[in-house]
Amino acid sequence: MNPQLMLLLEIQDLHLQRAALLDEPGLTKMETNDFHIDPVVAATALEERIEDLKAQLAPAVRQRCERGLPALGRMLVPVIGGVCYGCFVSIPTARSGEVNQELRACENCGRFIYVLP
Amino acid sequence: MKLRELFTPDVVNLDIQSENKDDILKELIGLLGMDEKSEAILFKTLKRRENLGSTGIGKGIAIPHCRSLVVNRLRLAYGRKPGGVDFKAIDGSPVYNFFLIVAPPLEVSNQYLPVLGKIAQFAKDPDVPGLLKEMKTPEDFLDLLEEKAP
Repeated sequence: MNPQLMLLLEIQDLHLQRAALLDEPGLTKMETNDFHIDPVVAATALEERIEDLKAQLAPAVRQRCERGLPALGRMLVPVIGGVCYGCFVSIPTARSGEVNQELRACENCGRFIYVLP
Repeated sequence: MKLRELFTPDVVNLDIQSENKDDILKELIGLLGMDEKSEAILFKTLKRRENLGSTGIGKGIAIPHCRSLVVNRLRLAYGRKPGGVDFKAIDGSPVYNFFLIVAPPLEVSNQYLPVLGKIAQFAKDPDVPGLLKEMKTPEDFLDLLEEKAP
């Protein structure tokens, strides 16, 4: 797998964790009550880690993420069954198999894509 | 939705071999049958969650959980470590039972929170730790879920 794609996956997963802590009320309640997590403190720790990882991205990738994120929401999306889960347009099958070896973007929506086996 | 329906015998390991937190997470992830790179990413995400605070909720039970892009549907696994291990649980006790929950970013059925809640509720049943200890086969685990988490 492309190292930059692995970094983007890690960053995206941390964004998901942060969102789960702050933006999903049921999860926020569980994390607080059952797992004794302070969501705000935890989210801050995640944001710091996200920034650390972003610093490891190639400048062009980072720039694209920072420019694209506000408009696109998630900059990295899965491709499941040949469909981009950012815009729900089909990705040509012939290209799907090679996508994870290099960092590729959906030709329709511009998001980076990760093909789920 | 019953917890029983979300587990199969191949994601149940009643004899976890690992001796520390990281290796136990890896062994649990291994039950999901993913490719090596996806396993590595999932481990990092789960480890990051553990660093925020242990998912050991007490009474010998931990529920490592996260959302991740590397799964395309809700995935669960169960592992039992008969000798227990220090998982930095909130009650400071060793953890013997591990429920792994991984959900994709978007779920059509949105089961992540309900499943997490059901497992936490199951874990709080005072009879459950003792019953988990007595299980002999993965099918016993599935039967216990059927009985205690209908």
